[in-house]
Amino acid sequence: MSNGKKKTPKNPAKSDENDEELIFRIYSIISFFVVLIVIGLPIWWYTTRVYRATLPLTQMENHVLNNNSEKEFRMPLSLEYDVLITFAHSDPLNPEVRIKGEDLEDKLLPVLESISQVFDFVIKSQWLYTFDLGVKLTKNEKYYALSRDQLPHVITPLEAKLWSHMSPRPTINLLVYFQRCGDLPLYVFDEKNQRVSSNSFFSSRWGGVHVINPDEESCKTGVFTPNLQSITSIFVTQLQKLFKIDNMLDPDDVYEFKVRKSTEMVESTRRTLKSLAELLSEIKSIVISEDVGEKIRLAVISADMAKEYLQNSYVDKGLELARVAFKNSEEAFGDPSLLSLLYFPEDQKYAVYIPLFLPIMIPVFMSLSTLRTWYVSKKKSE
Amino acid sequence: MRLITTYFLVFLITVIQAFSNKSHTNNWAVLVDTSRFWFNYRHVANVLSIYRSVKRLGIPDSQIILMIADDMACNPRNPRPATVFNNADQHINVYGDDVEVDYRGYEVTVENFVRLLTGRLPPGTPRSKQLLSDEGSNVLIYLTGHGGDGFLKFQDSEEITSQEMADALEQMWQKQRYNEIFFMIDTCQAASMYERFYSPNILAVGSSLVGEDSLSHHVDSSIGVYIIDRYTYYALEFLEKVNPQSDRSLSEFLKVCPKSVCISTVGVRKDLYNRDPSRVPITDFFGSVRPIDILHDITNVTLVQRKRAKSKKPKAKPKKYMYVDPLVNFNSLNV
Repeated sequence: MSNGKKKTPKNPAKSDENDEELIFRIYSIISFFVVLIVIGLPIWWYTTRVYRATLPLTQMENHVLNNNSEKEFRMPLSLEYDVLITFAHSDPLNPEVRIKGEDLEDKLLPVLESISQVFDFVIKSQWLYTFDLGVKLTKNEKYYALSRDQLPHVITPLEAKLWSHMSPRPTINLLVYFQRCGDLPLYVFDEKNQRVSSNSFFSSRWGGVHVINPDEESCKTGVFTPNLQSITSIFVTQLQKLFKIDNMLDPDDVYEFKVRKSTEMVESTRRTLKSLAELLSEIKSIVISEDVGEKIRLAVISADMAKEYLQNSYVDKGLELARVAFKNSEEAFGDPSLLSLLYFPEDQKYAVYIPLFLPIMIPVFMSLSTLRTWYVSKKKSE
Repeated sequence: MRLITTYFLVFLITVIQAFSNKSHTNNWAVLVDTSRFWFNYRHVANVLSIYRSVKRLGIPDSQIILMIADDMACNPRNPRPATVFNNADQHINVYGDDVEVDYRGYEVTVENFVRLLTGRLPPGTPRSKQLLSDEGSNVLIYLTGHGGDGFLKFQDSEEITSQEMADALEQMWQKQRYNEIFFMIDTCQAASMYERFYSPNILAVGSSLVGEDSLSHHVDSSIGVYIIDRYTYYALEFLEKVNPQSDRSLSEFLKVCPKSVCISTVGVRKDLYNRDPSRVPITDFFGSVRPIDILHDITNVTLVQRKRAKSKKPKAKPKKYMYVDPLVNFNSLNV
């Protein structure tokens, strides 16, 4: 102790008065260092990082993808659909057609009831007057013909007039076309040039078209009342084709349909989650908020549980959970907040901050050498 | 359970066999003009040229997303209001009489464009402003505006980089939002925009290579500005000769603008694309032909009488609507 006391007055012989100021300079250097590096840098890092909620990434990635090449010919998977019934008539008073959308809805709903556990349906109807098929019909002495090659070109111009895109749900179009009196009858022909007995056709993912020829009697009286039973049968058959279900009224087919759709939903959920996990590792600027994270966790758990229920043949429970999983995975993937750092990509982060940080950091780091010389000299002096 | 799986597998195989020759079920088009102001008249003419063609070849307006940053047809400087022509002889009015613009003016931003492609739009966005494509969709993306090496400028204020563009397409692929993409871009240094693509099934074509300018076709002296760009001018010329039934191939379309007329070199990127362009009909991207099946056997349904809730029934007599012939002439009214 006495030694130290002796030495201190000896050391600052060169700058006696500087001694007291030096220690303040050292303090200021240390405080700058602490504020900028120890506190500032982590805060900057924390506040500008891309936020990602903790995710069950291994579970998301842990899924083998199946080949789904046939998928494009099914209805796009959704939890709810619009069924848009359109009555199209080229000449509204020739004959006057007496049919109401409500009547058809009444007939269709009990049939759709059988698969209403899987999907929700909203049935709408509309009339299109003075509507032409838009293709040149080939005429014969006995009939007008709509050939197989012409059928796609009937649908394309139709889409502009149907306004099916007004709804937020995917739409199944069911169109009934009434041929006018005077140009009767109009028949649909298949690829072998055979008359199609049902007089109707359908397109995957879009819907179906049914051509009705009013009978002669109706043309005389000017009033035509279509047969609801035959239209309903055609519609139901078209819906069965679109959903690839053999018979909507057969409980076995409905059971098989439920299993298939729940499996598809689970499959789609897993695929979506896997894609998301892959994207997160590929693209660094995607933000995952807590809200989205919660949806992902829910989707992962529900998908696993649904799979388990399905394996044990608890179809109804499995279906319910598959729907939850599907809904949440879609919502999570399509959440607008994932793009919230769109204008601030990771690679430009440094370009923005380096001009700001460099002028401050250089003096701070340079002053560290002052600190070092002070420390070394202090050690020496001891 | 096992029986069902076997049945399902058999079903899958039959379906795969049945459709193996055709691969897409619907068509979408995203057409974007990114520049505004009168002197960029030609970019609006470009995008409207492609719009006119896809519409004529059968893609419905509900499946075309049109983004136009400025309204040239109704610009006060336009001597012929409500028209946009593709050449000075007023050969084709590309504005037509039925243009449905989905994003216009200041709505044309990088954010909206990327959100549109990735499907991450705010809830409540109208369906007409959404790209609702799926794993069976062929999507045509056409961009025009001012570009540079690795970016495309949006509205003088921001730009989309080639990396952002590539990432957006990858996100589309991951979410199965397309079957195939035909990416067309008419800008300076256009090829730089597709260089970074890494997602499969994309065929890309650009009006110029990196380091090259893309040139405009000619000036209309009555308008006082360049009227259309060379590449799109020749593309339109080609497309005008195509009809929905024609079997012109995509490889013919890739050659529409040789260096002698375009001056810039048209760049093509095929390595991400699986099919041979000479076997792909151009209507796979510019038209819309849906697959059709005939309905043969009808399931007969016995009708169930459903009781409606009584409260729903309207008590008042329903209004009777009837069809009335359109009014041709006021003199025909008997007043």
